[in-house]
Amino acid sequence: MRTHILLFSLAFLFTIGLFSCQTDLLEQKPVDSFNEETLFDDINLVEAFLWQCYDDMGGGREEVLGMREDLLSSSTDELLNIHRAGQINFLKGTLTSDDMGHFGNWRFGFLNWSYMYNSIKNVNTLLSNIDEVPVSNSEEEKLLAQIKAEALFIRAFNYTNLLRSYGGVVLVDKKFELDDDLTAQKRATLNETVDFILMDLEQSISGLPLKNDTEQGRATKGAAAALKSRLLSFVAGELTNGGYAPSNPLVSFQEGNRQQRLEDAKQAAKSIIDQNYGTYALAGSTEDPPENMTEDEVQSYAQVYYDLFMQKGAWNDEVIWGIQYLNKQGNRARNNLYWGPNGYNNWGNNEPLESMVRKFEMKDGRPFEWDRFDEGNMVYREFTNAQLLAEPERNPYVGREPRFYAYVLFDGAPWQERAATNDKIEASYFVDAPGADLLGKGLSEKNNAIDQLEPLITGGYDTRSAANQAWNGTKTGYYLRKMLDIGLNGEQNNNENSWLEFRYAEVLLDYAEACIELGEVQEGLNAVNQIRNRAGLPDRVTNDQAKAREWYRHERMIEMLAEGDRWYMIRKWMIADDAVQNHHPMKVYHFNDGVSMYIHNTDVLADERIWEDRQYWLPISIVELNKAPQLEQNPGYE
Amino acid sequence: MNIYARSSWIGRLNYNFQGKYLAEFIFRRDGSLKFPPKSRWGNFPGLLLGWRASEEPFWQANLAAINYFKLKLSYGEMGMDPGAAFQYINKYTLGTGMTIGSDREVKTKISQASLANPNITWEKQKTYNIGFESEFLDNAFFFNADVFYNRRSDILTSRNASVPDYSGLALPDENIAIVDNKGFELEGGYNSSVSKEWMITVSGNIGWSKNEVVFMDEPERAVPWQRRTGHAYGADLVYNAIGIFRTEADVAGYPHWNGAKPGDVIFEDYNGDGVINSEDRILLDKTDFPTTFYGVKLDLNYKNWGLSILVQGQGDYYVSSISGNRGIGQNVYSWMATDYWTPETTQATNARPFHRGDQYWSYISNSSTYWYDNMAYARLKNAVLRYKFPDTWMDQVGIAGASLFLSGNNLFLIYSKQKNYDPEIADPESYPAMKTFALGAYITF
Repeated sequence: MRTHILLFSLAFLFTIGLFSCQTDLLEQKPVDSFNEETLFDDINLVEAFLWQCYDDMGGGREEVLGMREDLLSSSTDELLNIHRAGQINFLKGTLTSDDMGHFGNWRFGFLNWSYMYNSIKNVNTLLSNIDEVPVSNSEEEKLLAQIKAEALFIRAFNYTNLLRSYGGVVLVDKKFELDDDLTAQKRATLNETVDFILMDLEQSISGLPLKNDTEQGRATKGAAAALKSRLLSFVAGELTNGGYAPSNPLVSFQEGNRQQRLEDAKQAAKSIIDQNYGTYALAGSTEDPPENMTEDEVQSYAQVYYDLFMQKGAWNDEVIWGIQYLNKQGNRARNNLYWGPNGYNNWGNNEPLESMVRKFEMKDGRPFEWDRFDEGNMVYREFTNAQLLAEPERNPYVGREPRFYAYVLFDGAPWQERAATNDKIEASYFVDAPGADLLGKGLSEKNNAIDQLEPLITGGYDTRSAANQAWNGTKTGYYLRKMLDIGLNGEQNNNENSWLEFRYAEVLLDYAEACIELGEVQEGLNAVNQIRNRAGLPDRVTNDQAKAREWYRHERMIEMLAEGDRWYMIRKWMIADDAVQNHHPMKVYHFNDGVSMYIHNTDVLADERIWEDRQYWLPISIVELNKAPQLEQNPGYE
Repeated sequence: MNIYARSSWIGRLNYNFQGKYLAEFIFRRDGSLKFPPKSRWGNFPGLLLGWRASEEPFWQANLAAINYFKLKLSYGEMGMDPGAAFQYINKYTLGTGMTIGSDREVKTKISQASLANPNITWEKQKTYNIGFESEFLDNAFFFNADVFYNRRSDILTSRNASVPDYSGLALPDENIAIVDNKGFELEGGYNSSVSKEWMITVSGNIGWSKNEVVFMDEPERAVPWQRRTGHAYGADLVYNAIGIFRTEADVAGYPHWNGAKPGDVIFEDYNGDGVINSEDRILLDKTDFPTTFYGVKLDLNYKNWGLSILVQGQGDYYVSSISGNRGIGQNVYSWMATDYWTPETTQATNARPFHRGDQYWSYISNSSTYWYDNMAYARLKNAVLRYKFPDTWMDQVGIAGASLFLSGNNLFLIYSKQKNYDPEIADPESYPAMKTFALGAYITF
């Protein structure tokens, strides 16, 4: 007997997602997206794609460009990144192609290799399709031409930041496809890279509208011209003209001469100053400031400065191009939260360094001298109440130039409402003991005595010994004020003040530099003096090129504080050896007998810094080199 | 918005001859919305064969001690469709970002979501399996064994490792990777009444499996020990931490990261070139899952008493458990805080204290084996002690039956490679496996 059991079954199954009955379930198209053909069939969609290109200029981050949790300026001698100092390995001498710290990730997306090339790919996608976009009238034709010029501006911007960080880079002006040979591309020389950017810039300058003929926030002739000035000014500096690795065409010019590059830089700036690309001017008055300014006059100059960075609606004539923010929509800026004092529940990052603070002049234009009341003592200042009343400028924060009050929050600086501290910053320590006995004692003796008094010392609201969020307290003794909105509760709301990527002051500074380096010393200083006068400071006059250069560089550092400019300048001028130094905290003590001590505690490090010359240029990441071994590494790196 | 649809045809054919010869043929045809029309459908057959050899006369004549034996063979194909839908289309999606105009209007933007891969199709897996089930000496012993080998091919993964960033390409998934997987499972036991009063059942099982990358997207240039081919799928690329620099002399005496100081973690100079850089990183296998797991089960009955015990465990399994804070924020675990390297305690277990990610050996910048713990363990998972009241007692109170038991779960770790937190949960931020005790009674009327 045989038994056969045969079973046969057949089933038809569906698994169904979010949709209802349809004839063919698998024949659906995505409902939340467009394909490329649809996109470039409609000029409105193309314009929407352009907004994405703008947005990605900063690496696709919501802050877009400069106003970030960790400022680029905290990689310089301006500020300290208190939360992630170790990852600013640019200042530790340990930046390598294996570990680029913040320069290898999204933190500085606006100059990061990967993010910039992603942004460039966006632009190339747009540019490679834009000529096929149908237009039905002259209005649309005009808009299409504008979009194209804007895309070229964005590409030039990305490449300028790449160049200023890496030197000559891979020049891509088309869209790659999956089957393209990606091992064929090489880095162009510095010279070729400059020429490539200039070509984009010439086209965009001629194709872009003037600022009054377009919406605020879109690129303009002025913006493209300012970018050109920025680029040409950078490549006219010491770094790219034989200052470092002079025979390497990736980072130093092998052709032409510096003289010509300085002339080009001067012309680029001058054509903006000559108002060829729209009306631009410094905010505030550039008349000579009054002598012996009253406190009110100082504050009104400071206010002009402060307000420049508080613009929330229509921009004034100093702004050439920037990024706008709204509290709860679109891109976000959180300056107040990220940088504000811990006593206001903010995170205290990007703090001005003591050395930076000392660079602000006195209000009459004299240099600030720490040892003015005790010659040779660069470490501390101290006084009794009676001494202070007789000479208020014994307090190092009294009698300084207006920009100091606009830019820096120091112990006693007026700030947001807080009854307990009389609406003032409290970055000092209160000692419930007399200080008179300690007057005149040396630093180590003072430190010892203060250690002994520890149980009697109370940290102020905005210190690292505060009851509130001590870990966000200042390590340098200061907080930033520039770009922080005094009327905004940073814990609850986002900033609405615009980021100013290009402003007229930078153009004047670029012009001044070119002139001074060309030997037209006073012409250069005249441009610097406009900036000084607007800041309430008197003119500088000299025939000495070296002196003028020193003054100009000083002015630029103060003027551009926290805007990121300094990171490019210390490299361009090759002054990193001087600029990258150890930093120490400023500690302010108020004793119960009215004695105050401002101690620059050189026994303690606020940040340990070491410079290595190879870091004049960023390395190509080892990850990228492994993918594309044909790319040449920058000098000094593996 | 996500849409997803899948359509399947499934057919099955069973054959059984006298309970001796068994066969099953399965065929399925699957279509997925995620793939383009030309590569949307995949055919996936499977075959199972069984032979109950112990039913054969020759077996019963010659191998009677093995009273049950079944041989099993199988082959099967499967298809998977992971990843996002519509990767075969150049996709652009809507978003917001830029604020334009002095009246500050937030513009709707369109961004490229991905680059198209028009050829995207099913991931495939072919599995071969051979095994047997057996019982011998009148069912007193049993022993089962299974050996398997499978190959996953056309695995959907993007070619990010080899495509340079300067291309700007945001790559779609492509059917490129191949991974082999092999392993075995053994199970055996003894089950017998020793005497009228004694009953004993004991069994154990052990499983082992290992996978190996056969093909994977690799960067154009990579040192041999960093090529993923030949390593476990998902192996982590990390520095090998071989200790802590105790003194300045230690630092001076071994190649070190630029700026290393006493108290820092020592990265192994793997290629021995005297420089510590990314080439010294190694691929750490056994990070995806443990390759070995095992269990032992014991049941003892003596008169009215009963005891059951279950032990389970796993072999080497490296987990980087710093998903959260290990010193990154303000808080650290007590085992770190109390045993840091300091100039005074140079022989401590842990490296020096640090601020957030400031040190070169931070897991954010340069991950190393320092941050991994081995989760190998064996645990007394479960134990139950029972007492059954004698029937004679129960009859007197008119109850059919009653017993008392005391049981405990997750009683203790017999062995654990790392001592600081529960290796089974493998996350120091989560509660350990809960230890429970129960006392109970069963009463039947």
